Amino acid sequence: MNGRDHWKGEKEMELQIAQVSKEFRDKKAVNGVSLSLTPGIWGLLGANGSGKTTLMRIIAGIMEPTGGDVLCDGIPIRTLGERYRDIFGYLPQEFGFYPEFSVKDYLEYMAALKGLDRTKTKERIDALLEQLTLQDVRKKKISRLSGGMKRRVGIAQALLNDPRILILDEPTSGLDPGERVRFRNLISEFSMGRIVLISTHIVPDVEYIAARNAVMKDGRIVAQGTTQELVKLVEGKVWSCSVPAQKLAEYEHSLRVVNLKCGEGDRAEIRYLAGEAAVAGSVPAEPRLEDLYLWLFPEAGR
Amino acid sequence: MRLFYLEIRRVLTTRLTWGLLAVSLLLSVGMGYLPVTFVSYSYQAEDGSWTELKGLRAVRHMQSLPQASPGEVTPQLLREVLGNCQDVLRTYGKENIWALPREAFCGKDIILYSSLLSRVNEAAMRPDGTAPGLLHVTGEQAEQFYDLCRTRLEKLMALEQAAHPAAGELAQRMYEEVGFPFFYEYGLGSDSMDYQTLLIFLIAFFCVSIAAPVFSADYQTGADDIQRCAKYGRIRLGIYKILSALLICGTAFLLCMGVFLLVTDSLFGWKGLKNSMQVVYSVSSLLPLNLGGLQLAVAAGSFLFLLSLLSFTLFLSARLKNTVSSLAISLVFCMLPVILSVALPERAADLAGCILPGGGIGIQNSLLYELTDFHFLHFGDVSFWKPWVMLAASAAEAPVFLGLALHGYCRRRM
Repeated sequence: MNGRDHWKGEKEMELQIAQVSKEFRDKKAVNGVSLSLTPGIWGLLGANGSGKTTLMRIIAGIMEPTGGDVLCDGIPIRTLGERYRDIFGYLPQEFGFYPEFSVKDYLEYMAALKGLDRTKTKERIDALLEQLTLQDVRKKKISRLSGGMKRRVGIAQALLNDPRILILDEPTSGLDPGERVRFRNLISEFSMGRIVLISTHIVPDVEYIAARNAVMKDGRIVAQGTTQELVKLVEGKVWSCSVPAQKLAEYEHSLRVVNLKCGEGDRAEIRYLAGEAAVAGSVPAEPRLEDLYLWLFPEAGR
Repeated sequence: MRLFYLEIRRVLTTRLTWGLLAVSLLLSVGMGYLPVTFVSYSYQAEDGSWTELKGLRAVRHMQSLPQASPGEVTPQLLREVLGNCQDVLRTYGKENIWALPREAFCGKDIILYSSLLSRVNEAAMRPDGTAPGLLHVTGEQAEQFYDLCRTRLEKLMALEQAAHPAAGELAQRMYEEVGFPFFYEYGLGSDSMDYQTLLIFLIAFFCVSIAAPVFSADYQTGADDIQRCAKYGRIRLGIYKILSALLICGTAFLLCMGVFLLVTDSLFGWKGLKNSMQVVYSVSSLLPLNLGGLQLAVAAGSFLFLLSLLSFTLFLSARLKNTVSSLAISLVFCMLPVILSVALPERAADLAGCILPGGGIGIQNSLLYELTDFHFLHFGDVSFWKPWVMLAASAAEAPVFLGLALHGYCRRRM
């Protein structure tokens, strides 16, 4: 039985990350992470070096954890082998490809690797090239494409087999704002009944489309929940106020300023994070996911 | 099968692959032709002027001479040829035919029969193993040529394998299969065979360069990360990658060999393929083959060596995570048998040639020289002829390294 038949029309799928750890010679990249992924879009947030990519590679089965296991509906993914990979799509952070391949050649090759027959291959490639606006470059060599186009080719290959589990590591890096919006819409549409895990440190990419988020720091999951639940963690910690423009440098030095806007005249609007109001005239602001991120990763805002 | 086809197409579209395949094909034509350019022949016209022919014209002219096709090498022929040669040597006061001036060859058949003369000299071996020199070989010895051939092997084995009587017995048993009388026609010689050996080495070098990046390039670029997550991205892709590399390199090797043999045999004449290898190499050569058979044996045996070398290269490629290291180490192993055959003492070099993958691909360590030589390996009281051991070792190594390559690729985790 292939993976597609195995999971067809059955109960809601669950991808369980159970106490997963990965230790390198000099660093523990992932430290006892447990997470239960159910259908929907999951955002995996974390600063560079927080262990997101390592965790994703473990979920993809291309890296062996030093502890714990990844289970799909209770069965370890290494036991499922081909059946797991049949329903799996993956876009790594660094997208490797054969420089001699055109976009179409590459997608055909990947489709064959994913076990698609000729008819299905043509259908899927045509559809994905259109969805990702790559029709004009289908015969162009991948090596000659821009960074954003290469990324879209990477997304196309991940979606070729119509995966039930889709893992995207920094999928929007290199995409322009228009492409990011199209990507978000495509993934939202695609995610019905599937597990989609998107790792990023660009918070707005997942803020509006992720049903749930997990925040990773130093190899651990430090927070998880819906965007609303997570945002509650910084409720009462986000402030905004108007300050004299000439004192901006002073405020930036003493406060965790997450946004500043110079208005007309000599005043500026600042938004900052603090346990309590630190500037006279501050009013509580509505928290966003990015505020939580910057609260948890103060170095990212500096 | 579609994946297999796409994988072959992928490898063939890489610039390195088709570049090396094109160079291999050009070299096959060039090296098939090159030995012809070494041939020269001078003759004096009735008006006393000298005409010197070179290359293909010299070959064609010599082949047109009535003495060029004696066919069976009879003792009478040898006695006559020896007598003529000794007359000339005495006239010019020389010991060796290569010391003779060019006018000495005019109207004589010395050039055409030079390899036969060398064999007569060789068969009349002295007890210390040295050849007496053409002036000291008697007509009676020439008439007893085939008897001397048989006894020469006995003497040779007694000298070289005194401590291993089993080797001598094995050699005698093998030599019983050699057919008498020998066959000789002017044409194909050892130069072409040497160039075949050199071509095999160069093709092996190119094939290793094609096979070395098969897995490691994917590791290096990160393409492997995506492929490994696909349904058929492990065992099946691993098998297809291995098979496509073997198919492309194997086909290239056979094609290049075919082109080389076609060119060189056409130029030197197809009749020369019937020449007994004992006439060209040593009267004691152990294989019952003519030059055509020897060419094919060298090609077939070298193909097996190439397979073991490629298997080892693929194994390295599956284990090493960047192209530079897999290419560099693979090429070192490709050249190692050549280097060790010169650098090591004979017995150690013999063993290295058997153990190393592709041990029979090279210059001094080539299968051709092993097939025409008398190297034996001894395990206790049992002796084996070295070429058989080399071929058996390669036949065993190829599947082992292929299995290890596949295992290394499938199990690769970081």
